[in-house]
Amino acid sequence: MLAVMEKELRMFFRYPLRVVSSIIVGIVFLVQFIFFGQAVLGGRYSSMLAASTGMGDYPTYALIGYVLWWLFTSPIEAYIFGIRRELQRGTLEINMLAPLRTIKFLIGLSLGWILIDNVLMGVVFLFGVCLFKIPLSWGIILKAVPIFMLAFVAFLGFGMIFAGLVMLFKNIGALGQIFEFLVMFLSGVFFPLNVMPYWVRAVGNAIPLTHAINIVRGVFVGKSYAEMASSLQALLLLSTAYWLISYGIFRWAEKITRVVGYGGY
Amino acid sequence: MVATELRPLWAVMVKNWRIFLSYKIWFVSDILMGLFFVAQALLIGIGLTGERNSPALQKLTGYSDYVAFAVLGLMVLFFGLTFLSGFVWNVVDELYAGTLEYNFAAPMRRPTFFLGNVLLRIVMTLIYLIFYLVLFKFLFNLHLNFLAFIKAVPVLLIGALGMIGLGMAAAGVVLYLRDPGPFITVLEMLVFALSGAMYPLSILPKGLQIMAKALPYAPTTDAIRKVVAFGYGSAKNEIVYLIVISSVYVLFGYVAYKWSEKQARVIGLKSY
Amino acid sequence: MNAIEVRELKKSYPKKIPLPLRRVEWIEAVKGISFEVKKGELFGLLGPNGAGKTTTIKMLTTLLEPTGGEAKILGYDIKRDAREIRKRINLVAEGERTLYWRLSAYENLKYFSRIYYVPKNKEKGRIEELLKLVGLWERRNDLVMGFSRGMKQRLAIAKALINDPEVLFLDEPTLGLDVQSALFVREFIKKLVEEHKKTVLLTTHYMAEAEELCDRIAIIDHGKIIALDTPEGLKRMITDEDAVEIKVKDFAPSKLERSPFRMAVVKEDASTNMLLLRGQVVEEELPKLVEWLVRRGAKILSVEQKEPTLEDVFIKLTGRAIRD
Ligand SMILES: Nc1ncnc2c1ncn2[C@@H]1O[C@H](COP(=O)(O)OP(=O)(O)OP(=O)(O)O)[C@@H](O)[C@H]1O
Ligand SMILES: [Mg+2]
Repeated sequence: MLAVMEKELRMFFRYPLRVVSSIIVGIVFLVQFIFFGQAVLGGRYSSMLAASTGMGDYPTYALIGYVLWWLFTSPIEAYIFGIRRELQRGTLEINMLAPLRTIKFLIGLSLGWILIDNVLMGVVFLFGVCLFKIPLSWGIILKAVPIFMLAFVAFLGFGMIFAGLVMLFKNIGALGQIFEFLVMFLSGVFFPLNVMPYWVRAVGNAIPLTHAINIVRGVFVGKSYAEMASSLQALLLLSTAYWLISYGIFRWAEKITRVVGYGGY
Repeated sequence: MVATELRPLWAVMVKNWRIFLSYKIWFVSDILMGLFFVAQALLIGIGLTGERNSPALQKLTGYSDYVAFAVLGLMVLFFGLTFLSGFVWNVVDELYAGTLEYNFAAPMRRPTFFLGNVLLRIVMTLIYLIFYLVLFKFLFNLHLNFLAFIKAVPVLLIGALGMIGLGMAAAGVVLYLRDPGPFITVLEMLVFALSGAMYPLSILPKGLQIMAKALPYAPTTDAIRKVVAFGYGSAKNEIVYLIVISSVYVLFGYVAYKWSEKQARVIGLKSY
Repeated sequence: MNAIEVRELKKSYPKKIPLPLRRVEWIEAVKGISFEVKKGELFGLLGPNGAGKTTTIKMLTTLLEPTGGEAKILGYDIKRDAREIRKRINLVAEGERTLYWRLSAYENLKYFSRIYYVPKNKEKGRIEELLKLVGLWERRNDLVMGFSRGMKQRLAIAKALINDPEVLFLDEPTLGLDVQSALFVREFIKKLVEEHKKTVLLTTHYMAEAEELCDRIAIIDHGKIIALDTPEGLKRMITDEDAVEIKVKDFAPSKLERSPFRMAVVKEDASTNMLLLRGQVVEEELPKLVEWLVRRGAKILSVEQKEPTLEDVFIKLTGRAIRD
């Protein structure tokens, strides 16, 4: 598994411009919406936002949402592009034949990507913190880290659904992207969910990202874990549920591909 | 000469159209992209202020309807990216497909090849834009004066010249890069951030503002927003500046592309 | 008038992009070659990988700028009259990815016919004729993506005939094709020259192909022409002796460099550690060669006499064999 990961890392750093471009894309995306919000507000504090979510500072609000969204999407992309690339190179079948268990291979494949992706996310986060002068303390960071880990486990399970889908449908890159953007609306990344109709909020609650964002925002305004118990519970519950569901889907997809063949690209 | 080039020109357009049609999903995701940004803008605005109008924005730009502001900016941006990305991706796609060489080996004149591309893209983008306008009008109850909008088209065309120039220069660079994808992305993002599509440039740090002014996008956006809101008379300064910068880019793009094409014949086209 | 005239043609590639003020090293890919191709002739450039064949073709088809020397196609200078040349020639480039895979066979030809200024009233008829000629008429509306390697190559050849060129350049036209497709392509090339009176310049690194097809062959190695003659003429260089093939085991090929015999490695099988050596040895010398080999640890598996081929010409000239 380590070998697979190392291969991915090496592939990535052979193209340093890729690193730069990923970071710039990340920054531009973030800055775009925060600047827009500030232009509309004529400042950074929104009492509307404070009333509906408990956090009034828009840059902080948006940065948290964005960073977690990034964490959420990176397993999805890792699975989709990892598998697709293997398909393109025609090496998937060979790797599948290797004694390594398929699922381990997949996680190895995606962990490399996720690791890189999250380092990039870190860079963008720090950039955002500096640019928008986000108040940050060690206490907050220490309290947020466990939440990030927990959320990450949940996201990893959620993303696995896509691993199954790629095996079945091969070319779902665009679909994955559309889904990722849709989640931005469903999970309240850049705006409070109370502007959305009831049913959208209901769907949003089924996505682990929504709860993770809520908890971390809570941490930033100084709430204790106990005050956010319901969100924590939801996150744990969803995490288990998605691991089970996606594992099932993946096994099923694998069985089907064995029957119909991996197919060329 | 013009008459003999018409058939090849048409052929290039038809070919690109056919190829474009064969990527269906990306087509959908393109359309959704525009929707995504405008909807996001609306929801952020409402979530933060609870209203459809923003006095703060009005003070900065003269627009109080922030959705209209974003729509105009995004439309110019999309239009502009058509040239940059269109040009560059076209070269890259042909390089990847391995077909650029056969095109260059044919007697068709080089400008025909590029013009065919750009023309198709302009037509397609205009269709996109009209589609967006109608869609947004119904979805977001957008109040844009269509007549004012049509009045702004000449400004858009002036700006387009500059954007084409930039696109040609970028296409020239791309002929040599081993891995052009990230280069193009960085360029696109730079344009995105500095085009003033979603926010007034005055909110940016000084250095970035100057950079923004030096690219043809933000000046186009500024001039168009002014023309749509206040008419030609009050936008004179913006328009003059736009004409100057567009001419500079046209010249620069032409020279840069010529140079790089000559280089390509010295070092050989990259093959992937 | 000759169809192609090449004089002292040279090409160097820079190792890096030569930006202004940047010193770059240059690699000499073609080091001054000269030859002529008569009208209606089938001329072959034969050489190993990296010999400079593709580079030469690209210069002659105006895709690359020569570093020095000059060349004329149908009397037009390749530097000054590029467009006139392009109208009158066509090429099949190396490799598989040269056509639009996302278009159908018919659409591809239609596109190329237009960028080659084929008159409107001739377009339909010519495309149909060409598609039938290469046996793709039934598949004309299928995307090229789904074509086999051989079909793609046949379509590329049809494309190369779209403007009814006087001179045709073919870069390794049978490379990577299955036996049957390669046979078709070779027969087709012969027909083009014999029946349609085209001038053809082709490159290849298959000896047999060059020998079978070409009226004259230039053997090119490291960017230089080291021999130029008809296949018979070339073989006459070596008819006084026979060729020998020796199969040996456990022998390091590097030792051949200091041998008094001109032997080259034709095949190498790393897994069984076997080598096939080939070269020219007069009968009296043969025992000496065997002894020489045995003394250096080689186990002799077989010794065979062979008819001399172009391979032997190349070995004699360079001490190496052309291999894939
Ligand atoms: N674009 C390029 N930039 C730098 N060097 C090049 C380029 N193209 C070719 N070369 C070098 O020039 C030499 C001749 O290459 P060329 O492709 O002409 O050989 P070839 O005879 O066609 O070989 P093959 O049988 O492999 O096709 C080689 O050493 C190659 O590495
Ligand atoms: Mg070659």
